[in-house]
Amino acid sequence: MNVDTVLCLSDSHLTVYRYASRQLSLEVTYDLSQADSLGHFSSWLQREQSRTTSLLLDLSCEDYYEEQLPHVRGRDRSLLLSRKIAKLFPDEGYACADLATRLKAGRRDDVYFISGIADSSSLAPVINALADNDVAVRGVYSLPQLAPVLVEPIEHPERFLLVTCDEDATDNSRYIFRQTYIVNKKLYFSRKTAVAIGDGNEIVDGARKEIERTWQYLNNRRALELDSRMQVLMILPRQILASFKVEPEASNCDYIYADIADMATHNAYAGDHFELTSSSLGAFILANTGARKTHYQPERLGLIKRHQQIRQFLSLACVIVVILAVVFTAMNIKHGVEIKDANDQLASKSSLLGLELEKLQQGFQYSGPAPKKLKGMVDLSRQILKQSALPSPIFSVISSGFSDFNDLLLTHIEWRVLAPEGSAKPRKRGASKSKIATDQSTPLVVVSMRGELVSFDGDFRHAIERLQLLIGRLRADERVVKVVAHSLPLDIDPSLKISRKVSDLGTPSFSIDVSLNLDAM
Amino acid sequence: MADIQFVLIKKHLVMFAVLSLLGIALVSTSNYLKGEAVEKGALIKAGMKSSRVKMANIISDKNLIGDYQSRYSDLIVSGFFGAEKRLLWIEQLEVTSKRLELPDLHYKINAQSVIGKDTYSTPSGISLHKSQFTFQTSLLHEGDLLELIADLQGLKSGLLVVEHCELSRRHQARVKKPAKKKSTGYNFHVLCDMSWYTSSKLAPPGLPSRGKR
Repeated sequence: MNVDTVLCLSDSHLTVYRYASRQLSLEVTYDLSQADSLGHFSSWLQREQSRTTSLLLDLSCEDYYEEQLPHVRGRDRSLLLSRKIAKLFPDEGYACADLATRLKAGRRDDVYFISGIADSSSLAPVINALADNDVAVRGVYSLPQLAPVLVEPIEHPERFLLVTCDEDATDNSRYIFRQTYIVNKKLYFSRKTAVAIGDGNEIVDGARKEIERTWQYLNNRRALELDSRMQVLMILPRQILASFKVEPEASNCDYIYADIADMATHNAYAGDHFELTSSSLGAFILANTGARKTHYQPERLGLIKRHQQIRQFLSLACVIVVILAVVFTAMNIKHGVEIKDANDQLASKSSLLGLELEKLQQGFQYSGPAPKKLKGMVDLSRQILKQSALPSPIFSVISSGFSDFNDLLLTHIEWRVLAPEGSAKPRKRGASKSKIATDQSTPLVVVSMRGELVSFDGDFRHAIERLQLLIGRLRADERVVKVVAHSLPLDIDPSLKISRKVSDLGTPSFSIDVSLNLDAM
Repeated sequence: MADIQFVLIKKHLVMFAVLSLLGIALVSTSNYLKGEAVEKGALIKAGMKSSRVKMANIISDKNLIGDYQSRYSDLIVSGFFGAEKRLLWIEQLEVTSKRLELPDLHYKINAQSVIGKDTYSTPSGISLHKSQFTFQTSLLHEGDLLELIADLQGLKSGLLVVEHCELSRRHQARVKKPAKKKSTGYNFHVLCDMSWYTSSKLAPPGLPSRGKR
């Protein structure tokens, strides 16, 4: 169960409220005028220090200022504000500034409402007791600052004076009136005064005078439209409400009456059989609304600031975590949806492909050797047969070459297959090796021909010319790759030595190598 | 850190933890769902790829069958698959020699040998065999050589490859000294080296090979 403690510090009393299960209960009240009250409070703190504690100040020594500062931002603004606050409130940690508005004319300065406690010595004993006992203080709050929250449930104008009234705890013969002027839900000014009950209408007259004084003050400060009427929201205890209603209102003021019990109902207040006061209502609101930014940060309660920083960091971390989670989730969902759409399209394509495949499979009924094996065997047979040089195509080339050369008689024909480099090489036989290089990629048949010239009459020139004519004809055949003449009827090569008898009439011979392209045959 | 009161930041810490857990859960779940979609896409793509490969294989097989089946059938007819028919060759040589009147036909057939994979790219599971065959004879006319080889080719007992031939005339032309025909009347002499190629399935490991004798 969440249990909070609200310490409500007034000028004379320290009241301890306990908040649990959305209900406020009064634990103890210490009269600060008694010497041992702080000792008792300290002992109480030692027993109950595990609770979260808030300190609510309902003091009369708070001061309020309206300041115009140049419109700056960031670090400059905080430096400017802290300088101004230090000047107005020398005790560090007992001031708070609230940006009220920005002027619409002139330098367009920012207007700040600054409130604080100039002399914190009256607070020091309580603060020290809290600090000495290591109490986890959530924050130090000012009751007037909670006024806008207090009146939030009821209808009210933008600028109004809130008047609350409580019985004086130290003196039954008077009431304490707190007048709080609120502009646009921000605290401008607050004042606490005691008014004696007296006889008859003394309290009403006293209160009216105080309100008129406040009007005068605000009018002088130009917080009101010049000489305009002021709306006054009167939240009074029931026992004096009736007497106020029958008496005339303060000059330049319009009263709006509200019962504090009704206000409590509007704020869902639940108290445990103790007198409802404006401070107990403030304590309830403070505890009920949970974590709230502290108004003051006394130096001795440095923990407040540190914890606030941690909370801010955690809040920021929460926001970052949420943003990151949302961004990554959105990205994942977006990608997922895109992928799903693509998958749907792919699936439809895949099913079409499946149907096509099924149709192909049905149309392909084959039983026999594997097609690759078919190809392999056929390719193998082609490779083998490429190495074969059957005589008929060779005879065909020779016949067409030697037609019209009846004076040349072939005496010897030899052919063999020369495999291209890197392929099958058939067995070579004996001394009759080809003189033609095998630099081609298709298999060649090298045909070596030897022959004689018949009816030779000693005319070597004619004989050589005939042979050269034969070689030319062979070269013209598209099946012939190369023709090399190894010997002519008379060897007239300048690099060779020649020796013969002129009378030697032996039959001259010749020798030619012809390379044939097997693919072309 | 020792000064920090957990109770003051409890709500924020709890909220941070809850939001972090929620965030992690959200991102993980969405990531998981996205991963599943990616996986499903990959499966569909793999299926499509497989279908395409199968279709391509069928088309390729159809093309291969169209291109090679007829030639493969010819190879079957040519006796390329199976054992060599040496006796048939010898019988044919005798028949042809009688028909062409080639009494001095001399032939030599070497032992069949297995051709290594480095010589020809042989399909797996197939062994290639070669029988070296050499013959020489006198011929009346060069056309007899064509007939002799045609007879051997017609045997349908494997692939016949003519590797080398040497054809020489018995006498040479002489000027003013015409050559006499020999009493035999054979004008040419021929010597040819040929090979018969046959193929067979590879013997399973452990069984004796028939390639070497």
